[in-house]
Amino acid sequence: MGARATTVWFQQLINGVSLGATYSLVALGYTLVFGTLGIINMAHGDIFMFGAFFGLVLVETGLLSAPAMLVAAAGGAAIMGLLLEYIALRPLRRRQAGHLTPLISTIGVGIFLRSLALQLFGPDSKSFPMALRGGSYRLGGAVVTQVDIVILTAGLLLMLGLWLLLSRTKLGKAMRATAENQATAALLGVNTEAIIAVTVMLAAALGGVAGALVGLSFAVSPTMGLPYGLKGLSIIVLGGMGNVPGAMLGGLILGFAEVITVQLLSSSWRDMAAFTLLFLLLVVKPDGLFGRAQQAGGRA
Amino acid sequence: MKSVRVVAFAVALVAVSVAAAVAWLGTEAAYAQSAWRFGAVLVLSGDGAAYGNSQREGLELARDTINAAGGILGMPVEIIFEDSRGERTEAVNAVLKLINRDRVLAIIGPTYSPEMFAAGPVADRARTTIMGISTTAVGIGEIGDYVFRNSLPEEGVIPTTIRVSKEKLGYRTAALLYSNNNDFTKSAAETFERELRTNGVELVAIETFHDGDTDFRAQLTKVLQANPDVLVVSALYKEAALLLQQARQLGLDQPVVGGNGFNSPELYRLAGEAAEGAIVGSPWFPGRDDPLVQDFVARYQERYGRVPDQFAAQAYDGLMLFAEAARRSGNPTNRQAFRDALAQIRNFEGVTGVFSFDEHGNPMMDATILQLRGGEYVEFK
Amino acid sequence: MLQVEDVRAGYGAVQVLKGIRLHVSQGQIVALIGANGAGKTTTLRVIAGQLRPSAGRVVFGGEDISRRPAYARARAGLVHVPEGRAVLTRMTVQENLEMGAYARADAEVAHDLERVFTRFPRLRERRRQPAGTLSGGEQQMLAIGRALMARPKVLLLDEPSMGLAPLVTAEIFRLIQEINQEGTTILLVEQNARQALRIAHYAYVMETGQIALEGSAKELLNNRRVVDAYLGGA
Repeated sequence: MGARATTVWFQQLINGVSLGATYSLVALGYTLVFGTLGIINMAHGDIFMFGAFFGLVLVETGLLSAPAMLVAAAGGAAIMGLLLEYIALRPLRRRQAGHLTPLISTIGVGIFLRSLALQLFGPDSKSFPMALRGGSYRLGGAVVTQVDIVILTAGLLLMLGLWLLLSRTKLGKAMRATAENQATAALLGVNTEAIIAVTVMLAAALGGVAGALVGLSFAVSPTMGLPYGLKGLSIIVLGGMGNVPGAMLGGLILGFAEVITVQLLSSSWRDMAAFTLLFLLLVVKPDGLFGRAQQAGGRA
Repeated sequence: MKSVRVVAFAVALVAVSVAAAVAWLGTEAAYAQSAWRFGAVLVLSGDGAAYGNSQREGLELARDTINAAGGILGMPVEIIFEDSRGERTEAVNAVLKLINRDRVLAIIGPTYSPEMFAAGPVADRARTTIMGISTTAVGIGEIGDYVFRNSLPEEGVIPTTIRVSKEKLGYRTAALLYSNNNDFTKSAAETFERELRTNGVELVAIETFHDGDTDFRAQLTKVLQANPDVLVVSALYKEAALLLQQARQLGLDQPVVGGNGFNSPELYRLAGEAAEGAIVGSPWFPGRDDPLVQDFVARYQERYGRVPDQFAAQAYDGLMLFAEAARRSGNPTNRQAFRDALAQIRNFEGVTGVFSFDEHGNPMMDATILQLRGGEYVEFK
Repeated sequence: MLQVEDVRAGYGAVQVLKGIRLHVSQGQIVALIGANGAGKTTTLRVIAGQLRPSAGRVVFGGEDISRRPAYARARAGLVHVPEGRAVLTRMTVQENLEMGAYARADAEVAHDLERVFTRFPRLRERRRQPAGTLSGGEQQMLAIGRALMARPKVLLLDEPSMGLAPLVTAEIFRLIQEINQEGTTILLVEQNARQALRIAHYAYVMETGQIALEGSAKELLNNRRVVDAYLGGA
């Protein structure tokens, strides 16, 4: 019993990490847009879904390559991000609309994208070929799939990349300057409109990669973005709005909370207990784990 | 000036409409006496149109089969189709129109159970037989004396599924996994639980999830710990497919018994090898080794270019049951005689199986137990 | 170097600038003084490209830049240090300075950074701190230092002494003079007219959206009307 229980817990640990890593991936894109524009991009979950479809469409042409698939997902989603910026965000910014208006317009874009996906791909779930998904490894009695490892690695690499981008590069600094004060950034010679477009595209590309990886791990369907979108949103609140490590850590916490609830309580409590935990954490730290209150400077 | 013209136009319009209606009613009434006229209320547009269209095809094939063989007692069968769009009020309106204006002998449909709960009492009060061919909710036959159904609900399939699979596999412990935010999968899970206990199987784990969930590994790891002899899954095909893949990945290699979600060919397409060997009960199996079934499948396939689904098969059997009742009652205008003849039917051989009505007008029949082998459903023997 | 020609501008229906003409010659400090609400800040906003004029034009280095966006003007060397300092509070001191050189691609950025640190030792001490944690005077120095990082041709300074202690104010004015002596043209908007006129070469006096008076700084320092209205009648 002892050995078996240890294995079970080890497996649950792996389950929590792999689930949490997918949540984190989704949250990264949300947090980037929120951090820069101060708006919540409600279409993110649907761009995520399209990312998965872009990858799937490429693979269905016969090109069985995971890196190519991820590039297609990122590229296709980035173009969607650019369209989102030009169609739903920039016109509102020009008219100096408040923060709620882009919320509504991105919800609209999300609904449009979902309907479009239904039209283009049909309502059924689709899966990536097994050849691309790879097998699984045994680790001391527990099982880890290759996709899990890819997701976790991709999550960590993207987080690291994003952190380096924001803290070390000129582009990243321009993004942060734009996030803090567009007028000031412009006075420094930053083409803020271009920076915003790049940010939205980058966030969309992150979403696309996340979607492709989740699709690779599970299945692809027009509605796959909804639950992930909702959880991604909760995670950036938990992690501290606009905070990159916060998004990563928040995702892992939510993943673990769900897995532990299933193991210790009951699977029907899964979401309820996980969100109760989020709520309690927010009561203790209303600005999120890495909220602005205690980190006036290093946002990256 | 203007108002005079409007009034004149309105009067003309009414006159033309009345004339047309009279002419139309006249021809209809004249025709009614020389044919067996049935109504069918189906979802022919909107979200569920695929179901309704399968049903329509099944009904049309049955009608043409009967008429090609000379009709019933020398009179042809005629079906008036009405589109309910899946809405209760539309279903009620359609039933009223069929009963009062078209003066049909009896009605097939509606497609959905909620529509039947609205339209069934209306037909019952009008003493007109109405028979659901896809309504699987509990309590349909109990609506009234004139309300029937030939569709075996999932709850009617599950007892056979558990009895047969336990007989063959000899399991003693089971884990039950189901989606608990979906009425169908949840109520099926309750039936599974009851039947497992009735058959002396111990439930060592009960785990739930939601429609739309994708990661089931936390639940499956718990099941792994409980180490049951069999996994029983009540879920839509999408969740079932992911669950099976993850179960196999985690090393859960027990046999799997599934609910109605396992009846979709999509399950194998999505889950692949992980679905191999899964066992499911079905009211309809197009591969059954029975000339009646094979003849129906061949003719349907020839006419519509695909294998008939459950909706088409149950619709086909539905009209065949009506034809049997018509033959026994002998009178195309006597609704009471028709109802009584239908209620008497026992051991009717249809394409979905050997069929009898219980005292409430619900079906009594054995489901076929199937197993997925190499991507195909075969009878589980 | 910089000309403002018959500029009219305002916010919505409110007309703030009612035809402004300014001329800033290369190498000079030109002061723009006047009472609160006279339109000094609005003038700078129009020059920097933050506000579109309804009429008139802004000419910089012989080129009409009226239609160019703010960031393009900054890149061309017209650098604006707005009122209230506008440092990027969430970025570190050093990052703020690096952002000053955002439009530059030459190899001397590091050298200039070193020069700014030499000029402002306080900023070097606090280079890793978020700019929001600096005092008001330090933030003003950071704002100016950041502007210098752009190697501006013309520096637009809006109320650099606002809210600062007298000692710090004196230091800021000394600094402005120094920067000018190193070759940067400066347009200085100030409420502290006396100090501004002391370091300026030429000056304009604004009243209710118009230029009321102009002349060399020395002349204006002795002008009766200016003395009465802006220098406390000393």
